[in-house]
Amino acid sequence: MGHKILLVEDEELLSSAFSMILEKDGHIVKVASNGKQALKIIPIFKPDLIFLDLLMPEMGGVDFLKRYQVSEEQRPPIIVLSNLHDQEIIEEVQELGAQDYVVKSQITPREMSKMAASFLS
Amino acid sequence: MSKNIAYEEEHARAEALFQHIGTGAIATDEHGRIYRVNDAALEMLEYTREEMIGEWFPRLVIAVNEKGELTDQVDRPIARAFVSGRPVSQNTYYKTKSGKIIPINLTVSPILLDGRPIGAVEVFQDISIEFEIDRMKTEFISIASHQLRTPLSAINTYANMLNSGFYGPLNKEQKTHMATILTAIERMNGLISTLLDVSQIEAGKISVKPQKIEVSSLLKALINDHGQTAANKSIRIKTHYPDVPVIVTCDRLLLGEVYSNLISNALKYSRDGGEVEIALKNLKKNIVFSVRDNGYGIPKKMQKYIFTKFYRADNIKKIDTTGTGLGLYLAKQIADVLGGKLWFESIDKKGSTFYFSLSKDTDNR
Repeated sequence: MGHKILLVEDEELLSSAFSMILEKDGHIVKVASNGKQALKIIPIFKPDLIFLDLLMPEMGGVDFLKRYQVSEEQRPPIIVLSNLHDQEIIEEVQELGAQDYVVKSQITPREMSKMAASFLS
Repeated sequence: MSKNIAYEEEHARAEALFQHIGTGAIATDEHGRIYRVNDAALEMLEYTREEMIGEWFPRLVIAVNEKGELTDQVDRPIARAFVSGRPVSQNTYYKTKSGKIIPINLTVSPILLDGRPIGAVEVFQDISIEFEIDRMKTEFISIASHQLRTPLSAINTYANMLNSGFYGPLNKEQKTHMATILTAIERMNGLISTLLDVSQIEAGKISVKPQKIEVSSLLKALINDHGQTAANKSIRIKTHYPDVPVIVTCDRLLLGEVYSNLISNALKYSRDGGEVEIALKNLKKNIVFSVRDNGYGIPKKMQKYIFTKFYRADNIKKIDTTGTGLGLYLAKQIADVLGGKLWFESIDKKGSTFYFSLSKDTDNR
């Protein structure tokens, strides 16, 4: 309970819904609307978990992963939440350190809660 | 004298036809040596007539596959046409004089005299534009599907939040309607995923990750996934597994997709209260999966189209309007990628059995 989660998502409709779901579980949630913002927020907010969208203006998720260089112990788990379907991209983000890949149009609030809990325990 | 004139007239007609047929045309003798070539062929292949006449056709006109690898001489359509004595049609790629590779659709026919080949005629056309259109279509499906998923994400998330009582409990009627909305969302999601799978596979972007799989347990898990659908239609599922573990080296997800697709079809096209029988056979070199239903079956004249994209048999279109005609097409494409063989037997109104055979050799990709 009470973990810090960063949502990197440009679509406000979704980030507000995801925030509500995670806050209901007692987490503290912050939203960054692109990779650039996320890089700024992370050192201050120090999230325990990151949900990352891929297609975002200014800096997308793949570029964010490339630039977010911290040692493995310092790095919170990152779950990619995207509607992209290309296997190449799924493989690329996994190589870049994302722990999981979830299709955004298919996830339910319950699955999201469960997923957060499993990565935070 | 008049016989000569008739012959010359006939020759002129044949020559005009050969020259202006609108596609490239090359005629060879019985050894495959070029003795006639039309302007369209010269233009496509970038040779002059002098450069082509007298040359051995398979050596001068280089055929390659989509990766640019040389086609074996014995696999060349002209060689096959000579051997079989029948016309051969195929798509391939030709390398032009300057090294450009162009996609080609060709038909080569042996010229027979008293049953013996005295030469061959090949007609061919550049199908670059068709290829490009096809690629654009695939790309369009991919982009459109991604775009559809964006609004669907919001619909899915909020619908699920409402449904799970996020904003307070729902009354009975609200719950019923919510369930309808969620089912529709699920269908939409499934449809988009299928379209995206199709565009991935057509773009050659599917990646195969072979691993050792115990097939019986994979099947048990898949059948379990379909348990609810079977229960809803009161369909009894009978299963037969070998006594020993069945191990193959294959991509788990892709193999699962083929099996799942066939199982789901068997359930979908069975009548309520029907029976579906799933069997796995462990043969010496192959494992053969089969799923038999006693459902609607596939009318005979439609059987040859059943793996065609977007095709749905007439009898099924009347019964079920939710299908896309993509399931079996996709299953066939994946089966090919896995190097397996997919086939079926079906009797109209009696039911179908689909088989998928996979080699146990570890070198199947």
